[in-house]
Amino acid sequence: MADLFMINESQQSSQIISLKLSNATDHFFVRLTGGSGKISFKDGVRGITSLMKELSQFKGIIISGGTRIINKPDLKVHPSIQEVGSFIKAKNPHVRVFGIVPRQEVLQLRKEGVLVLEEETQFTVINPDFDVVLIVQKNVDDGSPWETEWRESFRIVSQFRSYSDYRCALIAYNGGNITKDEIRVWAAYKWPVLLIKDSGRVTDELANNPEFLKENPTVSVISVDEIRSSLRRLGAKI
Amino acid sequence: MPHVVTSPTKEVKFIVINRDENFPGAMTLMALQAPYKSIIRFAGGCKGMKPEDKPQMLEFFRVACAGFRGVAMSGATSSLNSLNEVDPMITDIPDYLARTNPEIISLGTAPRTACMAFKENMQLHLDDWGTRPNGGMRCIVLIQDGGENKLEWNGDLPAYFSFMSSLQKYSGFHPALVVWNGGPVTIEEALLAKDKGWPIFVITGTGRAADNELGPDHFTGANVYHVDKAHPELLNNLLIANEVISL
Repeated sequence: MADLFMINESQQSSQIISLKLSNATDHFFVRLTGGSGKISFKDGVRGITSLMKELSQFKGIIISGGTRIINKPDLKVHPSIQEVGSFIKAKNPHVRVFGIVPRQEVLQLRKEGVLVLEEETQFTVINPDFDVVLIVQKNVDDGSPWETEWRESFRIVSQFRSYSDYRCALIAYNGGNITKDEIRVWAAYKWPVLLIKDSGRVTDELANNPEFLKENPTVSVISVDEIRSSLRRLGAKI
Repeated sequence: MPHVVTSPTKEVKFIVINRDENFPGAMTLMALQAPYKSIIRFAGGCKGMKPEDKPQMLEFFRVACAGFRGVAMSGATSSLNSLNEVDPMITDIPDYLARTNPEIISLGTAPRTACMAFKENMQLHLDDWGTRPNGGMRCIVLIQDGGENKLEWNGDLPAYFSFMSSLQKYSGFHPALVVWNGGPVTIEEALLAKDKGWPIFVITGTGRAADNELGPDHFTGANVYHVDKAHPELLNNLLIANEVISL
């Protein structure tokens, strides 16, 4: 069961969300970013399993997209990066899992009580296995683009860093152009970025770009099984 | 004591919000830096107190708040005497406590009751009576009713009660209200806190509301305590018993 909040893009952040997130044991944010729908089922399972294993003992706050993708017609959960947090939360009471969802279309509340964002070849629904999900819209009539997810998460992490003693890291796995923008902004602010080697698409593109890595010393290229040690090096209690 | 910034952070964050806006996350996040999850709102005033009573007030709270490591909050104003020095009021207690223990987070709220103005030496005046923002706060939230309207002195009550309630409900903070002297706004604060079930500590012998409307003959309840100003150690024991101070 997730606590669901909804704000307009221009509104200031919610103190209740801040307080709920602050109940995590460790003052550390992990922002998980990357692709989801374009990951094959096999790669998705492999990626999630590895990330889950490495983050299973994490005691801080995980921020990712707050959606769940359900395949048609078997109604199986598609293994996207957004599922990592919910898997960890199920076995770890110290972590808090926070999802951000830009509302693009009119939300549909189905008879089964499921809140559906999109229905095409897959269903996109709100992930009910998070602690907190924040839906962001431009206003009641206009939706927000996908990049609102990382912009909002950046704003929240920035606030925790500015006004409290939180640390953070961005973990990039696979992803497309929106993920690339997010990585570039984190790097420009000199915040820690961990690019997961061999995870595909833009993460690999940047991980194999020596010029980008030279210009951005807070960006590290690591294998998936180095996540725990990298986070520990950055100050996380894991 | 000159009128300068005395906050341990060497700055006072100053945030202005409209009264219909939600309370700023910045102050919430600052509160979370306290080593222990408790928050005391110091309410009341110092009307009728003689200058020689002020050191006694400071000494009272030094003893009463021994071991406190939470959030100390009050009105965010400060008053100056004819020598342009801070005349210690109840609103200076958070600063006083934070200077004895920098772990304490000093926060303040105030309503905007007049058009603010910068005067001599670019000093910010909150009203025409020389009221200044308190330099001992880590963060001040000023609540206004739009850019032009003015609020009464109780105009920040909904905001700070919402703030304290959220800290209690969503993060497990132990809230408390301490009343020293005070007038009509203080009575309103005490009644609201009583309804919420927060422990209220009225310091008797300090004058006005604390000895009349909120005195032991008129204001009682399971969460209402009266402490004579001659016995700060009793308040300390009560704060411990109510988990506002953890030993």
